[in-house]
Amino acid sequence: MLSSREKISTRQAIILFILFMFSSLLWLYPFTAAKFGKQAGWLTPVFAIFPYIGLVFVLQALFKNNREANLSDIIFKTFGRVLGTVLLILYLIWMLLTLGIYVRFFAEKFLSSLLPNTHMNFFTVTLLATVFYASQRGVVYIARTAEFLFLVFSAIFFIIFIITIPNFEVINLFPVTHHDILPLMKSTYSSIGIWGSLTFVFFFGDKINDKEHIKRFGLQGAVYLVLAALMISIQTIGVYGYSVIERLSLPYVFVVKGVSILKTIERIESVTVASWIILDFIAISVTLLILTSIIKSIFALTDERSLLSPVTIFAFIFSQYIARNRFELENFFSLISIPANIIFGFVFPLIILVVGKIRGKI
Amino acid sequence: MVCLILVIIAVSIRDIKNLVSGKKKKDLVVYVIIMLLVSAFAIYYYSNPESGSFSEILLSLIGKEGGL
Repeated sequence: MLSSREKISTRQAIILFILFMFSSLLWLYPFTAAKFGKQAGWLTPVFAIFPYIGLVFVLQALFKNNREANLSDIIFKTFGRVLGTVLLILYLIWMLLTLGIYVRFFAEKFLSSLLPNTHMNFFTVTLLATVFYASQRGVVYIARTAEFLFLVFSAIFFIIFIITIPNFEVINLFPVTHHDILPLMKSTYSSIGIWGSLTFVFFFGDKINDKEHIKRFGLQGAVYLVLAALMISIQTIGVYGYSVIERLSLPYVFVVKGVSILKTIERIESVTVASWIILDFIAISVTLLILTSIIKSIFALTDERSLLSPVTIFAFIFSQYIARNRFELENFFSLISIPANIIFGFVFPLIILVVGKIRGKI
Repeated sequence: MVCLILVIIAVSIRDIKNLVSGKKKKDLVVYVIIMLLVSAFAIYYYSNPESGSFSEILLSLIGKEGGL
């Protein structure tokens, strides 16, 4: 039972996380799974889930005795005010970069699939205005919207998977032998960066109730993510084979483009891109809320809502400055974002837990 | 750039009014500083948008190619 109407449940927080990371999962996961995992790339989620499960246990341990706190409070408690502020500033910089990346990815998706001749600012301004309006209402409204949109998105995603089945070629997925273990490890490294986003959601942990259930809902989320990631990789590598998928920038949309229902209804990729907007809307809203929460903690402010407008304006400008084209953006994501996400998402929480336990603060 | 600066001014007036009426002095100071930094960034970027991108600079630092 929720103790406050101003808070969300852990279940809703996990849904926010799933939608938050799903956008990157659809965009980059098939590409990295095919590039590094080759034919066995579709098995990547089976390996990638283990670090994620470890992260769930770490987060549960962090919040075991700090149920009303957020991650910033725990960082201050563990490292003290000075070191804690330094770490939070690092997180702040990283989340600002992440926000810029997400906004730019959103625009690039449309530019490379449906509307190539439209100005990029049209997409970014439209999305950021919607996100700004929705975020002013707070995390509760975003979480409730996400809960509903999660069902809509899951239904669309599942239906598209079903209608792709006739295009599968089993030869693209098998054989998988012991020689594929090393490529699978490489492919796992490239994808776990995305899974570390769970940590970031807990920056507004003070607005999350029943944190004693992080393990339960986190593991349920893991099952959903493994199944979804398996479906995405089978759908992409299974249809065109890894050698084609690793050369495409939007493999999932490319696969959906090839789908035909009873040889009459075609070009349903517009449905996919439209449903992708749901994911980007949630991802950018969540990032915005995380950022305002971090700034609020650093400066010990009373309310974070006034910070929404400067951060949104920053996101608009930075989404243009981050990269000149899609290739630069993809290079940045694979060469810098993934390792940095592993550090911020997996390594730092573990360090916080170990130091907190040693110092008896957690 | 002019449009963006006008938007920044309009949004700032609205937010500052809210913060002043809420008597949140500290929030107001932090807000003004952040908004000034964002405005400076906007002027920096739009005064020469064709200059090197953030990715290009960062990737060149680690010795990697930016893009096509």
